[in-house]
Amino acid sequence: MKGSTDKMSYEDAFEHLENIITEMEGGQLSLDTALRKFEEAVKLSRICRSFLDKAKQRVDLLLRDEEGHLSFEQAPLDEDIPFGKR
Amino acid sequence: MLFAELDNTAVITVSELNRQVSGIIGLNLPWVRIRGEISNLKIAASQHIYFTLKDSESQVSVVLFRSAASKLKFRLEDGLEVITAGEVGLYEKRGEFRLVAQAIEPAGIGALQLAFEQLKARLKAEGLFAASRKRAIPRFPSAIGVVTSDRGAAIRDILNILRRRMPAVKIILAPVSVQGEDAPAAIATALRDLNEAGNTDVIIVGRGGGSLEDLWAFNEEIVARAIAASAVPIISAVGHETDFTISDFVADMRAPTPSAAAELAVPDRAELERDILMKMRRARSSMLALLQLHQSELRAIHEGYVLRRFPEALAERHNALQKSITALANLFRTSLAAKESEFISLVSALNMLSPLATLQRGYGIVKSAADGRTVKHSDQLAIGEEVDVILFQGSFKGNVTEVRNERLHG
Repeated sequence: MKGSTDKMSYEDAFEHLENIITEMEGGQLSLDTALRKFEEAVKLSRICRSFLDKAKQRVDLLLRDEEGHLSFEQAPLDEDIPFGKR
Repeated sequence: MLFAELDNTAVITVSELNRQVSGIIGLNLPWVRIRGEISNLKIAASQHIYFTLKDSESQVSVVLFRSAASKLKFRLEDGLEVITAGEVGLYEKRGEFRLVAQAIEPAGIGALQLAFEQLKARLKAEGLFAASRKRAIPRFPSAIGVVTSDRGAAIRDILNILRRRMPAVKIILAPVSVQGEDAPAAIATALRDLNEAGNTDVIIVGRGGGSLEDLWAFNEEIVARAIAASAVPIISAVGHETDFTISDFVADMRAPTPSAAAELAVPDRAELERDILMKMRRARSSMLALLQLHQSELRAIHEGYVLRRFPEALAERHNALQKSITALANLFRTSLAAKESEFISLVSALNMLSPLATLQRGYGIVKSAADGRTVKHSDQLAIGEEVDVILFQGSFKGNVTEVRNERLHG
C-alpha cells in the first residue's frame, strides 16, 4: 500500500536526515563519527533534492477493462490544460 | 318487505360488486395527493412497502410497490409527515380500498434535505464520523489517487496545484462521472479499485461546485461506505467552501474545494528545499564546532607538557593541522552546497593528521624519563628505567620491570 519503491523514499531520507542533525547537535560524537554522520547527511540531502528537482508531472489513469482487470495508462498531458477541454 | 321491493334487481356475485365499485372509484378519483402521518410501516420481503396514512380523525392504507420504493431518496419512518401521490384503488380480494402510491415527499422539507439528515444521523450513530477513525494524511506522499471526472474543473485545479507544489508526486486518476444515476456506484467502485491497485498514499475524492442535486452522489450511502472502508486515507473535496456532504464527514479530512485538497495533500517543494538547506547549515555548524573544539585541545597539548619535551614531528603535524583548519574555516565562509565533498575530504585528512585521533582510540606515547626520547623499540629500554606515558587525557610515570625484545615489524 505504501508508495515507496526499492529506493529510499523521500520520507525515509528526510526523517533520517532530521535524526542525524539532532545527533550531531547533541555534541556527544567523536570527530570520526561526526564526520561519518556528516557525509551521510550530505548524501541524504542529495536524495531529497533530486526528488524535489523532478519537474515533470506524471498522471496515470486507472482503468478497468471488460474482463474486470485493472490497468494503468499514462494520461496524455497538455502542458497548460491537462484535462477539461475535450 | 325490502326483498320484495328489490325483486326486479339482478343478483350479482361478490366479485362483480367489487369490480363495479372499483370502476366507480377509478372514474371519480383518478389521481390524488394526500397529506398525512405514516404509521404501521412494514417493508415486505418482496420490498413492497405498506403503511397507514392518518390525520387526527381518519386513516387510509397505502401500498408503495418495489419499483416506486426504489426511487425514494429518503427513508420512510413511522411518525413522518408526508405528501403521497397515487391512485385510489379497491383491493378486490378483501373489498378494501387503498392508495397505491407512486411518489412520496416529506412535508415541509425537501426530500434530499431529509435524506441527508437521515443518513447523517444514522452513520453518526454508527460511529463512522468519530475522530478516532480519522487517519493522518501522510506527510510526504509519493503517489496520490484522485477520484473525480476527467472532464471537470476539479481535476484541472488539482493537477495545477500539485504541479506547482510538488511535480514529483505521481497522480493516479480513476475517472468517474460525478453526477447522475450511475455516479454513486462509479465513485464507490473507483475508491475500491484504487485500494486494490495499491501504490497510493492518499486519495482525493470530489468534484467542483454545483447545485444540491449535482453534488448528490457524495451524499449517498454507498459512497460513504466506500470511503469508510478505504485502507488509504481520504481527503473529501466537494463543491465550494459552504457545501457539506456526507463524504466530508466520513473522510479522514475535509477540504473546502478540490484546489484546497491538493494543497493539503502535498507539502510545498520550495518550503522543503529551504528546510533541507537549513538542516545542512546546522550540520555544518555542528561539524565546525567540533573541529574548533579539537583545535583548542590540540593547542593545549602544543603549549603544554607534551610539545615542550616532544618531537618536532608533532609540531609539524600541528602546523599542518592549523593550516587545514584555517582552510576549512575559509571554505565554510565561501561555500555552500556544491563544496560539500571538498569539505568532507578536508575534514577527513584533518582527522588522519591529528595525533589526538590516535590517542583517542586508546594508544599512548611512551618516552624515556631520562632523555625525553620517544620509545619505539623495547631495546631502547633497560629494566628499572623510568618512562613517561602520554594518554589522550593526562599522562603517568612508570617503571620498566621486564623487557621483551620480540620484533613485530621488519
